[in-house]
Amino acid sequence: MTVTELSNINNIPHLQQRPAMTSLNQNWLICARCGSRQLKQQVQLADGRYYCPNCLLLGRVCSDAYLVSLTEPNKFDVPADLLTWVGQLTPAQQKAAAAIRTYFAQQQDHLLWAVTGAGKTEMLFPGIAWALTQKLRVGIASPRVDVCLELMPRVQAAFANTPIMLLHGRQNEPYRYTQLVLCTTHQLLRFYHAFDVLIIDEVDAFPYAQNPQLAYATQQAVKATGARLFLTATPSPQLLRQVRQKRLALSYLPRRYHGHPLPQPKIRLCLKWRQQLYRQRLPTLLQRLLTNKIAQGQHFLLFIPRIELLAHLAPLLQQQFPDLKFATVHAADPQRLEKVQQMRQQQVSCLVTTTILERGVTFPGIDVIVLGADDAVFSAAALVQMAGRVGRSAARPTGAVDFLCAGLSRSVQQACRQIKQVNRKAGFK
Amino acid sequence: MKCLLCRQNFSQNLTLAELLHWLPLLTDQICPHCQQRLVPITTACPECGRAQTSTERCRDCQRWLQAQPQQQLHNQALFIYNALLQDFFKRYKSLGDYRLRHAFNAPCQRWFAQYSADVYIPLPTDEQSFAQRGFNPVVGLYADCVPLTTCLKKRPQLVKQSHKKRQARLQTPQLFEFVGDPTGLNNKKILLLDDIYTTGRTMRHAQTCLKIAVPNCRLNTFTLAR
Ligand SMILES: [Zn+2]
Ligand SMILES: [Zn+2]
Ligand SMILES: [Zn+2]
Repeated sequence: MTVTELSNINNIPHLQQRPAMTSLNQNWLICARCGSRQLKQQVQLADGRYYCPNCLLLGRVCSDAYLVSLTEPNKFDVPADLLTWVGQLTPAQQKAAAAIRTYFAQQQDHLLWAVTGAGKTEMLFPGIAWALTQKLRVGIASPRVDVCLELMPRVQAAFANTPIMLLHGRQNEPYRYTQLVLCTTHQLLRFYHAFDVLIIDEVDAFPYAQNPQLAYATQQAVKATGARLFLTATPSPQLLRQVRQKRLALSYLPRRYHGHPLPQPKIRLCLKWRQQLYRQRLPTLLQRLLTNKIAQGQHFLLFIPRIELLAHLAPLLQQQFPDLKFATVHAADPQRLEKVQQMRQQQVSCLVTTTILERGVTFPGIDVIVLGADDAVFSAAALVQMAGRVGRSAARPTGAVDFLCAGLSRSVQQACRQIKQVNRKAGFK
Repeated sequence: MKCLLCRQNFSQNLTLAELLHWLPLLTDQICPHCQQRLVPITTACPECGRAQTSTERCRDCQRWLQAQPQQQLHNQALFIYNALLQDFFKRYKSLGDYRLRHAFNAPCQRWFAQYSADVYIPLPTDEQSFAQRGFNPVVGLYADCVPLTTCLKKRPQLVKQSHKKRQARLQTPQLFEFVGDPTGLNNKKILLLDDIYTTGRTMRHAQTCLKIAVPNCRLNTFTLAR
């Protein structure tokens, strides 16, 4: 917003304003909306102003603009029949849920380390219900759009009488002011000191894993008196450091809700698989695994490290397994959401995908194959997440995870070790 | 180096010739993957530069010819206006990411080096869009490739060009006026520059305006996309 536009609305009460960009020194300036630093010479417009390229998708901010925000009034009508969820929590889940509620009340930041498939979402409901009855404003954010879309119906069902605004980059619904907000972490940049309680799901997920901006986005979206809850199955070293420095409280949930251990990945050496693909041949080991799964009618995810491999792999699959119904998905795929939906509804029995589906998305009773698990794009956290797709449902709490590697990478070793550790902590041998 | 279009890192593949005639601006700003998605125009309509299989005047240009027989264009466009370029222009012009102005420096420079006009005139934007964007997108695209001469001014517009229906665009009154001294342009080889050729109305307006101010000149036009 420009200075003149601002002066016109300046007499609205409770309005806070701050410059959108501030100069740090001769060369650098910082964007107040997204917190990124920009080199002046790279972001100067022809008319001399500066702009922030980092948060451009939210509408460009320039150095002559101001960010305006309303002070959160917390005026909400809380419905009488608030929590409409009727499920049961296991004793372990109940303990975690109680901890969540306590930290919300104490306005403390908190990390909940729960294995994949521990039933994280359900554990949140008592805490959220408590916050809502206190007329607190609650935000649930995830780095991934898929996770938000998956969460929305579950949260809405649990709080059927509470309006929820869902915000992500690909949706055009006009903004409504609601007590409960579900959004991507990117959209958090639209909020300033708005939430009393902010839950960040899959906190270490791509693309925010090593991004200092996640910290900025969550910090400026939550009130100074607010509490943040970070949920993860694979905490980053940075988060664990904050725990050691006592800046974050920690609770731990090593067991899946159905009580079964995490499936241990099988590392299988598959030399020269890439060259074979380029020569239009399916690697023998992969061929054998696929033949078995298809014969058993087993649905599965096939993760691959690079988008360009899709073009080599897809025709081979079609040719070798003409009856296999599969879809290929990558991050920039415009039909991504539809294809995930197809897999969920079992219209296809296999998704061939790059890392993008690794978190939050649940398909009951599937197996997982990671081709090229030793590729540099796969972090240990990503591999743990991919393995964690398996055995999520109580109806089929086990399943096979195969890591196909041309060599052994540190990430593969770390991932396998972490899974073993978590299982041991949960009392499995 | 980071690709300006997809933000992925890539390494330059310079040919030996390029290494020997090292020009800093000829380095590619877009990665090979994005380059592949660009479709260069080879055979085209001689008037508007539209990609087609024949070199005959295309149907749109035939219609123009019937309406205004004295006014013919010679436009050349580098690339087909496909999804990649639509996305590029959305980010560059609508979102206002001024960094992207360098994305096509290398192919434009190569083209200008072969064509070599005496004077390059960018199409102007009106004051309102300039104030909003903070830059003229045409000047941004070509300023690092060739020296630009600014001698056209856009008259204030009520409705934005892109919001108008095609028919409405074809009927708009003269969009430009000539500013400054035209004598220096006499007998020169002039190239008028725009970013995208859509209906041709803008280009034809600019050409008419220039031809009136500078009757003796060789005038051609160039756009990045068609
Ligand atoms: Zn920013
Ligand atoms: Zn690229
Ligand atoms: Zn034509």
